[in-house]
Amino acid sequence: MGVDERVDPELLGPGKVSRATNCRFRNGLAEPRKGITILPWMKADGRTPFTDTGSLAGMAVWKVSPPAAYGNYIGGGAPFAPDGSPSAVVGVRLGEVQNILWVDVLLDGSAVAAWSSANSALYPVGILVNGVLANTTYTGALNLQAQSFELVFSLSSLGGVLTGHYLEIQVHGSIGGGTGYLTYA
Amino acid sequence: MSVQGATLFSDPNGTEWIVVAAEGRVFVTGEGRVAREISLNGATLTGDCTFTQTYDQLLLWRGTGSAPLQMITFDGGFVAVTQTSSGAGAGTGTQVIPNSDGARFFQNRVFVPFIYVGAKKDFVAVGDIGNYTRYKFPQNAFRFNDGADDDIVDLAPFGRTSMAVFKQKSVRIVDNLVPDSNGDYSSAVSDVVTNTHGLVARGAWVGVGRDLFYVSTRGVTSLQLTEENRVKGVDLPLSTPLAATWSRINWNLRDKIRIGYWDNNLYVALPLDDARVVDTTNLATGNYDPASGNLNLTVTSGAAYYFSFGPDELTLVNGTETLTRSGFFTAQSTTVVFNGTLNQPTTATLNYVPFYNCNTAVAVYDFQTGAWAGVDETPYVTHVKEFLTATIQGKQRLVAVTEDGLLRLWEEGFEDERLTTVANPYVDLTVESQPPSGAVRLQLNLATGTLIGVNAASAVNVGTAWGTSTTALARTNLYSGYAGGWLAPGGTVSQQDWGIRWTSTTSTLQPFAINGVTIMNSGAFYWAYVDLVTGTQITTQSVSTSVTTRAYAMQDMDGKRFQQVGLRLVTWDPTFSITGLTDGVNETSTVATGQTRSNTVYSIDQAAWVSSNANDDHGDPWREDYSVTLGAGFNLGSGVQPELEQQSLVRLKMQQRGNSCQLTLANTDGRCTLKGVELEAIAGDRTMGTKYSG
Repeated sequence: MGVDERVDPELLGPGKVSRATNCRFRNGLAEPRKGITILPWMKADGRTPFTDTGSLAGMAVWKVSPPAAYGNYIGGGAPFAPDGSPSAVVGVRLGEVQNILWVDVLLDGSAVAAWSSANSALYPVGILVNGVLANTTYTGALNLQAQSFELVFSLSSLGGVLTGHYLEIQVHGSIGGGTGYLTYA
Repeated sequence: MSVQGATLFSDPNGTEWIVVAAEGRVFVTGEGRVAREISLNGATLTGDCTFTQTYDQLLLWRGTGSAPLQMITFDGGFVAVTQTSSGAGAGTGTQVIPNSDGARFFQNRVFVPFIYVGAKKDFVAVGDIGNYTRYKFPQNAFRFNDGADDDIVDLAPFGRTSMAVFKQKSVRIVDNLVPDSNGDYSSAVSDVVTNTHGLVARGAWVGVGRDLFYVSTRGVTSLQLTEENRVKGVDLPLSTPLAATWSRINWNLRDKIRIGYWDNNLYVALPLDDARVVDTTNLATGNYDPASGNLNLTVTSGAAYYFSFGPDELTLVNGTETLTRSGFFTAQSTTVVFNGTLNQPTTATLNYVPFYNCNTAVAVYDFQTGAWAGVDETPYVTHVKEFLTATIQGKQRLVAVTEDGLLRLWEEGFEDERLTTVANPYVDLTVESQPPSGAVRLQLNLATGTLIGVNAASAVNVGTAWGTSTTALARTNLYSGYAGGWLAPGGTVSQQDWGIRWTSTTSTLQPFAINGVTIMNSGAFYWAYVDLVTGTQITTQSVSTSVTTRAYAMQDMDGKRFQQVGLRLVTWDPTFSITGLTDGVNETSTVATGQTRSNTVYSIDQAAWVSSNANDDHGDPWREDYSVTLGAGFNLGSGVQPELEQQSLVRLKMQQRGNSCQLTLANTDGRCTLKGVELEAIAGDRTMGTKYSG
């Protein structure tokens, strides 16, 4: 039972066919093959086409409610620790573990960042991994190996409120950048 | 460059990992674990590579021009191999392990084909026992060359003390690989199995029980281990019945061929025909400039494209080259320029070529039936770079690393999965609660879209005021408003359950706002839920099948008139066609096209099935099809088997003349299994001649 492309079709016996594409011959039937699927854990935010270059693949961002004991939770390292004013926390997850260099946050479609973990002329962005501040000074070469982390930044300049605004989160890694957006309604 | 190599790796804890090299980088991933990059510590990876696991470490072979690297820990990454001392009786090698494009681990030592002199790779270095960093020359450096001009392609451990040495044009067996007291193979003997053919590519062999199957230019050939543990070659290629497919192999790309073995099937990845995929989207659209005659088209720098000139084209400028004949090119920048007839629409075609010079199909041999099952050939899916047999949910499964950098599981589920770019991004906007009155509630396209206000007291739309007196009315009025003239430039609005879909007419979705706030991500906002679909997505597609039967001559060599065909089918939501082929040149006839089955119609006198399964009767007999569309409002009732297949006998008229007749059954949607065939014919012309007149 199967394919024989060599023998003249008139000379083939029962159970033989001349050609088949995407078929299997089981239990005396010519049936479609089963599917060819992407490995389960390579989907969703873990999806990683290994050929992706120059970008942080599969980046996702979301809002995080700051814990009540927020300042203590993060620890020291001013100016990257919360300054006591209302702050925003944003969760970030990449498609794979990457080397993170710095993060910029842009407001309402502006072409320039409002917050940054690298530019000392801007309001700071704290980068937290498992609740620990990874950057204690402005740096464009943090070299943080991480897939998931949180960003924290003060909203003093916005009167403590992000409602009605949207953020563009730019994560810069050693292989390229990734971008995510968040609207605060 | 794309994918450069892949392997399985078991760490010291017994955890299995999949290692993939791509675009000059190396990654590891494993079941339920996120991928991570493994540092090359400044080393470069510019071409195809291979890996060899040695105990709990991994060697990376980068070709005969680069030194191998070793990985001891993931965190440490790949580093240069440094010599370590061997234990007593394990060997006394002094030579550093040589450069190579691959090696095999056997009897606790590494076997490395390498070039000793000149450019001929005909030596094999055998590392010290338990120490891959050194080997002893000349005692453990074997040369396999008795005047031949071919290189070693790969080595294959076979049995306890034998190893097959595959060269380009010959196959040898090294037997009696039993180390003496110094760790040397002083009693090993080499014998030629065949000088008529060799191995086409590294990794194009696989052991199956006491057999070793490999791909040569003659086909899939094998070595057998006899009861006396002697090796003998099998002369008749296993692939002989697949002659037509074998004739399609692009032998210039034979080094791409790979073999996998799983579940009693042999999988042979092959570069067929042009060995490339040409995307069907024509990128050449627009008119030629009335003055210059140029048409600029945007492409991706470094990507491959296929173009063809129509009657109106003269040249294609790609960076520094001017092309005057249709063909392939690699974009030198982000723009190419067609030159053609002034002010006329282009008649050229330009198509993206995502994969080229790669495997395009997989031939499958079933050991249980002892026959080939044909080929698996699906664009964007069957482009295998390497086969791996990985452990997935406790079972050994066939995994393919494909050219697009994805890991694919063979023989899983009913459909294929692809990663596709959302050509026209869209947003689904559903009304979750009653929108309150207000002047600024919705605007699709912040620049020029109609600013929709809300009148929560009104049941109907008035001008740009959206009537939302109830949530249900708000849902229907939203679509009717846009259908009635509200503007949403840059996209088209269609009706959805509970709301609308706004689909961009380009590759970019214009900004939009709810309650005056620009929405940039999916989620709940005020009275709406927003689902933004952009970028790439995983899409599923049916497995398209085609089977051509043997030719039915009805034990009569005279001419016939074939009048009716009967097919016994087992189907699930199919769309199939049937073609008749009689002996002769291009003598085909279409028997049926686009045949489908309704999942609501019974073949007996019975009211149509309600497709929401409202009556909880999905499994009632005698329906044409049992596929279901799950979604809002579908009643699961006492249980639904959504994959039930229906059997049927399809009888169709046909008119075809000939001595014998074959049938091709091709299916593009759902599933369609062929269970049996019958043909009816009456006697035709018995005149002698080159062809029947009927």
